[in-house]
Amino acid sequence: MHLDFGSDLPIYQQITRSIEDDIVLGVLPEEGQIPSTTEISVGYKVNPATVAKGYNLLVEQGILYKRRGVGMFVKEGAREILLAKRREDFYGTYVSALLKEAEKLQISVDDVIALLQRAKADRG
Amino acid sequence: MATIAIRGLCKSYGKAEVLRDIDLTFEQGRIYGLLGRNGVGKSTLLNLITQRIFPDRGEISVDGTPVGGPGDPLRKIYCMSEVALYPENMRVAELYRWTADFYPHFDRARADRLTAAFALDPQKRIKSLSTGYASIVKLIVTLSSGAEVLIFDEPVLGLDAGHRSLFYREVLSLYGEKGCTVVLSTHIIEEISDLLESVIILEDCRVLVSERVDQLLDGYHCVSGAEGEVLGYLSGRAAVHTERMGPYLSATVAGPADREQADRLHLTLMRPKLQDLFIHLTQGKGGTL
Repeated sequence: MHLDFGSDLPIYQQITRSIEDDIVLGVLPEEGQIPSTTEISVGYKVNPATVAKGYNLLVEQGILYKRRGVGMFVKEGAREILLAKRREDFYGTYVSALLKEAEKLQISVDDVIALLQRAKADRG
Repeated sequence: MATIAIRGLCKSYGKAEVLRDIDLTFEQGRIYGLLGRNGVGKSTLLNLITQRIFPDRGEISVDGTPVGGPGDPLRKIYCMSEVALYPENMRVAELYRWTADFYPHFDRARADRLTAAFALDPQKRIKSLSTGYASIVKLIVTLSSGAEVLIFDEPVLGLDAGHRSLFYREVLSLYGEKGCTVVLSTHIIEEISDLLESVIILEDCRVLVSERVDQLLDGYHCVSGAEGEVLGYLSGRAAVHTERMGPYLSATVAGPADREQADRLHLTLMRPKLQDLFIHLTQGKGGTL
């Protein structure tokens, strides 16, 4: 997990994104426990309410659940939910951004396609 | 369970007015930052709360009981001040024993653990402590006091980076455990801005801001880009600060950001930092334009 205090994204969103990344990567396994709000709060020196805000958002989205008296856990099926969400967001997050940057550099869409095909060939 | 309510508080020193009609509430179980320029009256406010000095007008109450009232409501508060108030010949360990007499919930185990963590020699006399260690002994006593409201007035004066970090972690650790109310009055804003839940800014004898940090920051945004484009964006908007660097102009603007307009004008949008916003709100507005 990594927080970037120089980043423009609010801390609670950085927390949710970090946890989501770690679930997708398998660093946080399903049914595994995640650090407590106090641990994150003390570790990164942020207000626990901020951490709780991030955690609660993930609970609402079915990514985490709370076991009373024990802590927060990754919900079964969370990885699939996140993968599906990220696949849906892929166009908006990466493709649009790619084309916007290409436009800035006056690289045509056809040129971008050629570059992707080159990348495909390189990967073999 | 300790809420501090301040109503209509006024304090002057001779002809110099320091605080005028201050209305503030410190809700229980929150971490507050009390900010203000040098000399604005932060310490005066804290001294009034703890009855080290008395107001000209107004009321301060703890959980509904006025501070001078029955039930000794001040015992719910422990305040660490900038001024050296402990007997200078006293040794640190003695100071802990004495404090326990006044504060029945004093946590000696925590005090001992923190003393070791900060590498403070408990046999040292108060007068022989450096500036940094004088601050450290005060903040250890405050953190161990067991009080429901902990007030820190310039807690990190003279503390090295490692000790500052340790202090913030200990505050959060204690807060996580006990849910006490914490008030941090400090000039070192950017270091604590993520720790705070709410911020109070004093300016010109009054409360300029009393708000949750995220709400305060949501009320402003920063834009930067080519001067002409930024000026276009600023039309019809209130800028609290502008800064020109060659052909660039950056501005801190009140209100929500218009992402579309910013994109069209090739402007970079950013969230304001608490320290920067504090500086812009407490000096002359408008900047260099």
